[in-house]
Amino acid sequence: MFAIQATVFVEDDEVVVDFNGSSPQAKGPINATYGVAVSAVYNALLHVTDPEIPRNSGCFRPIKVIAPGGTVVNVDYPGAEVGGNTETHPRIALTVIGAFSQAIPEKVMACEGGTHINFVFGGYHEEYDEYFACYDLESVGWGARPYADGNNMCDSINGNCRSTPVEVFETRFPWLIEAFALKQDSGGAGAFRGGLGAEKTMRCLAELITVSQMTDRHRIAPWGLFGGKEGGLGATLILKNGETKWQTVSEAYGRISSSKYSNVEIRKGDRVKLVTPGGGGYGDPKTRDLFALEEDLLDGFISAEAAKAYGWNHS
Amino acid sequence: MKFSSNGFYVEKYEKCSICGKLVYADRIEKLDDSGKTVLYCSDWCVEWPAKKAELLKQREKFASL
Repeated sequence: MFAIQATVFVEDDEVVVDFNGSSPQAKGPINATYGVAVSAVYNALLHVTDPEIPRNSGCFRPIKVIAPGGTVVNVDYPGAEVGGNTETHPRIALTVIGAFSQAIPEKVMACEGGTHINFVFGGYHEEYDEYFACYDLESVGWGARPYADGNNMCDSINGNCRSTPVEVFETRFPWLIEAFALKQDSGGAGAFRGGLGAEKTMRCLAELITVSQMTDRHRIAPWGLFGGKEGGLGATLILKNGETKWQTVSEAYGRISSSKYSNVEIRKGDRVKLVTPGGGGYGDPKTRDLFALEEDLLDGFISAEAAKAYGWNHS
Repeated sequence: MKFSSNGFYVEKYEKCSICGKLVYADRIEKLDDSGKTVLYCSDWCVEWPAKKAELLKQREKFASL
């Protein structure tokens, strides 16, 4: 496990974000570069300040970032860093927003899913007689805010991508999308509920698709704020053709990690289920507006069982 | 940063010992208490450790009120 520690100083006309105390850089490719750390800090600050401030060098001039070399927030050459942007940037940005929650609780959000899922696959398409490759990005639930629920299924905080429509995905690649829906109960409970993540189940139609992935939030859930509960965890599950039990990638293929692996072979008829994390909740769930709670139940966003966390005990 | 003599590649990446930014031509080198050379990118970084210590002291004072 790797820690990102941020101490924020707001002094006169400067904001200084000091990452001393963060873990030494990792062997694997989760390290952020200095540029990623700085952009994550800018990202966080743009979220907690006036959204109409023009984004230019003047806007960023008052911000100082202290990111010691040789740490996960500023990798030294030749450390691996390919996952630093999609996976560690959100972590850094939300750490800074979390730090600000102590000073300006009215301007922050709870933790969002914080991963881009990065499901990468390739193979040979028999019908088209050509090779294919895809870098599939999926969306996550965003953290609840002091005035609203978190957004459902949005690209993570530094993202700019949309979900690929199922029709396009199926036309282009030999997968059959059997289900793609918001994941019930994945939004952290709160006065304002965390946004929902998603669940996507795909069946392999080709003889072989080779899959790699770098994602996160399979073990540590997105945090809630001020009594709000954690968002749901992500997962990557495999149901091999002819079997009945879903397994993690580690269980199915003997890999060390189910969230970071390469060159797993998915065969015809095998199924893959991508579960994306939900956002954390904000505020005590028991103070959630009853009408909003009823709407969540009617929409299927939360189950009757999960509604108990809100103090709901109707049948 | 130390570039090769022909300027075509980087021989050594050098970072500010405080903020971690890559250091190019604008650089400040000082000796620390043990006589070791420490690299800074700017006067701001030279002054930051002392300023940070002061701010943390003030914060502790404020927290104890």
